[in-house]
Amino acid sequence: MKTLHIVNKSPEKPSIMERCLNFSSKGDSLLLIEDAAYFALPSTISKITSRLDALQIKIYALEEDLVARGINKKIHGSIQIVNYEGFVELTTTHNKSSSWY
Amino acid sequence: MNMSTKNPELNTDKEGFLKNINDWTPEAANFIAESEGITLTDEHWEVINILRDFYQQFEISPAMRILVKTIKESLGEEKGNSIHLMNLFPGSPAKLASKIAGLPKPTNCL
Amino acid sequence: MNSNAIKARKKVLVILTQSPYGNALSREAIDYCLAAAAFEQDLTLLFTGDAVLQLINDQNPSTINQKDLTKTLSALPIYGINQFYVDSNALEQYGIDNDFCVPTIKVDVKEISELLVNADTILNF
Repeated sequence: MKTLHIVNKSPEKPSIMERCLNFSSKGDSLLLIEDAAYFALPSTISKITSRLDALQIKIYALEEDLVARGINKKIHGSIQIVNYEGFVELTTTHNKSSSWY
Repeated sequence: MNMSTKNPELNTDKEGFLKNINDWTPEAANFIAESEGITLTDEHWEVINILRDFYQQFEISPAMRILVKTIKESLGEEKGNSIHLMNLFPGSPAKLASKIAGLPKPTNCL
Repeated sequence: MNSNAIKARKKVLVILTQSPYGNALSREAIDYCLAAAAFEQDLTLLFTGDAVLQLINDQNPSTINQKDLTKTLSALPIYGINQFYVDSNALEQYGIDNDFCVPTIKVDVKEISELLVNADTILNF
C-alpha cells in the first residue's frame, strides 16, 4: 500500500514538509510541485535527505515547475524529474495520494 | 410553485428558500407552504419545530435519512418514517420542510 | 450487511490541517463528510496541525459573520461518523487537551502513519 505524497509549499513553510515526512511510511514517494520545487535545490534537500533515505523515499519534482522557476539545471542529483504525464503515471502506480499544504 | 401567491416581502432565492433565516416567522411558514400547495396542520408544525431545533443545535438542515431518524427519536415510529413525511411534505420532504421552516437547503441534497 | 457490501465500502481517511476560520477548507471538509456519509462511506477523520483548533468548544464566530464549525462537527456522529483522531503533538504545541466538540482519540506519529497505510483513499483539507 504505497502512498504518493505531494507537497506544494516552499521550504519557507517547513512544518508542511515536516508533517509529510512524519506521516510517511517506508517505500512511499514524494513529489515536489509548485513552490515545493525549491526543495529540489541541493542546499534545501540536504536538510531532509537523511530522513528520506531512512524511509527509502523516492523523490520526484515536476519539470514544468522547475523550468518555470529557472532551477531545472540546478537540482540535486538524487531527484528524478517528471513532467505532467509522469505525474499522472505516479498517481496510477501508487495505491493512493496525499496532498500536504 | 404557484407564482401568483408570491409574497413580495419575503426575500427568497430562486428555489424559494429564505435568504436570511432571521426573516422567518410562523406567518412566513404558512405563506411558503401555501405557495407549495400545502396547508399547515399540527402534524406539519411538529416536524417544522423539530427541524428548527435541529438547525439551532447543528447549524445545518438535515438530509432525509437524518430527518427521519430525528423525528423518530422525538415523536416515535409512527411519525418517524418516510411515508408519514412524504404525506406531509410531498416530493422531497427534507428539502420542502426545510424551505417552510425557513432553513437553508439540506447540505447534501445533491 | 454481507461481506461483498463491506468490500464495496471504501475506507476514506479525511486529513484536516487548517484552522477553523482562516479559509474555507474546514467548512468544505464537513460538507464533504456530510455528503459522503449519505452514501454510507466509511469515514475516518484526522485532525492535525492547525486543525486541532477546530475542536475547541465555546467558539462564537458570529462576531466575524461565520457559522460555528463546532456545531456542525458535533452533528457528524448523527450521520454515522464516529472516528475522530487527533494528533497529540499538535495538541501539545497549542497546549490544548480536552473540552472538544466531539469525542476524540489521541494518536502519535506512528499511529498516524498507520492510519494512512490502512486507508483506501486519502483526502486532504
